[in-house]
Amino acid sequence: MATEASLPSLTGDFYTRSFQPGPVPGTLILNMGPQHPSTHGVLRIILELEGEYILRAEPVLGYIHRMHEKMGEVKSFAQYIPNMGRVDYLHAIAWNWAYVGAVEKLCGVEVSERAEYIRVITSEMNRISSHLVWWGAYLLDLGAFTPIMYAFDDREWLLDLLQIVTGSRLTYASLRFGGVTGDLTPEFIDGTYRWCEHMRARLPMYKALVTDNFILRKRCEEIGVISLDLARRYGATGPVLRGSGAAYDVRRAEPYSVYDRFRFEIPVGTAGGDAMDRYLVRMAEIEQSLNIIEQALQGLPAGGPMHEKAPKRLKALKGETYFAVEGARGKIGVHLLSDGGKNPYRVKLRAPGYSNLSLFPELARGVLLADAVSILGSLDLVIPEIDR
Amino acid sequence: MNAAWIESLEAESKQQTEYARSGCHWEVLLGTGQLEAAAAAALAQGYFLEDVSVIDVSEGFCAVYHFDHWDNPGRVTFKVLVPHEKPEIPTISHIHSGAAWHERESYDFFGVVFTGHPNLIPLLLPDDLGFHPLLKKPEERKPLREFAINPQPAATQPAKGIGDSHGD
Repeated sequence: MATEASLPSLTGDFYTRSFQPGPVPGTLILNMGPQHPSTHGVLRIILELEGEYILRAEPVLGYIHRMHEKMGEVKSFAQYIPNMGRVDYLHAIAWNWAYVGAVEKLCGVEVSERAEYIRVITSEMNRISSHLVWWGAYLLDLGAFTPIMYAFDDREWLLDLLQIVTGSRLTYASLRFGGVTGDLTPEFIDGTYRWCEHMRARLPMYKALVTDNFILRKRCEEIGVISLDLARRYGATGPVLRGSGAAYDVRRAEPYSVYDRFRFEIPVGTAGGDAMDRYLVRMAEIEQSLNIIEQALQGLPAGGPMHEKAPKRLKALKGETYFAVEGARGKIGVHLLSDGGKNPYRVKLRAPGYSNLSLFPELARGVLLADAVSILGSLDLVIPEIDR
Repeated sequence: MNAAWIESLEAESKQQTEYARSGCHWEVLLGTGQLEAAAAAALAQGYFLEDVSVIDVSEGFCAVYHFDHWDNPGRVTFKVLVPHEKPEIPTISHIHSGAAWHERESYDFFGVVFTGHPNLIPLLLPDDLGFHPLLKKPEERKPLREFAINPQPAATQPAKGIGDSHGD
């Protein structure tokens, strides 16, 4: 137990030293991470504890920082596309889309109608694969080992399908200015219908096995309640915001591509924004994404995967633009400036997880350390996206 | 979208922008002394901060604040221009709490100081890095008007492929 006399001798790195011990004697400074198994990726959180309760929490970021925004300024517009798959490895297609969409918007590049549908289909499949990884990993955090095996089993089939059309399994870079790289094959279309059917049949099993589980409920209900005011002040988006009851989804609020042609619901939380609300929103979103995929497959228009006027080499126009899409974790935004040269002048990447995590210090105040693990998992953090 | 609150803001200039190409509905240029009041007005109207982006241009650093609304979507952009010699902007982290990290990141990347920030220490970069990686060389900097999306009729841009685009 630290005494007042021992506090001034507190050592540690820059962040520990700047995280001054509070005025309460007898508190403990605990570093959670960077290799803590409950945090996916390397996130470090400095905590000040009194007993098992958190007095203060401060995330320390940057362990996977790669300066993607600088790379945007030294690569050409097209060379930067593969970077997007590496910003958020779980929903790479949405990041592809945010960047490619921003360039298309700024430079007036038209996209073929079939490519819009392919983008919707692959992006929604990617959203489901992201939610499956979150689901498995979250339950792993909470001490349940089995569910991640089921999740990865279903995801494996999904990745096999995505591989047919994009050529990759994780860090997709399949979008191009004016379209996508590959057309859908009959094998893919047939397989996706069958996979959707399979996934629908699995969801009741997920519910019976996990969602209705008493222990899970105890770990999630009334834990980490995010009020709408808190969500607004921190700019939370995605399931973190929708769990608190606001039906804000970029696909509906600022419709891009062909999303206005599909019928889908925006699931929201009903219990005030606790971790269980966020859990249920994501599970319901899997079903909604399945609906969108099936509608898009049924309505798939003829044509090629690239617009016939798509530029062989992009001729960038001067200007400034902002383009946003709905990723698995919330609003992905790209603020792009071009001076007409071959590289972007400035690319700013808005990562939803960054804003979602930034509310954690306020949310963690006064909660049990074990509940903080549950809260962090319920935020669905992908650290490479936060660190960029 | 309801624009009355924007009309009533004290600002250096404000204009509606062409959404199809810029992705923004309103752009408001603010002085450093006007930023806090404008940010507070945005929060009172229910707007949330999407991000804070900084651009290094000939005139100085241009901090760009993007706001959006859950129920009445429409992007409002605030811009604040400060000289390279004195890159100081008041913080809005006491109003929009999420700004705290965006401002720390901007300090990391550009060295822009957000005065009044409670904890302006490095966030994404090492504390002993010693330089700001997104600074441009003086000869590479372009004036802000180069990026104006609403050029007057005597535009510098070729109109090809823009005017007929409907943006989706």
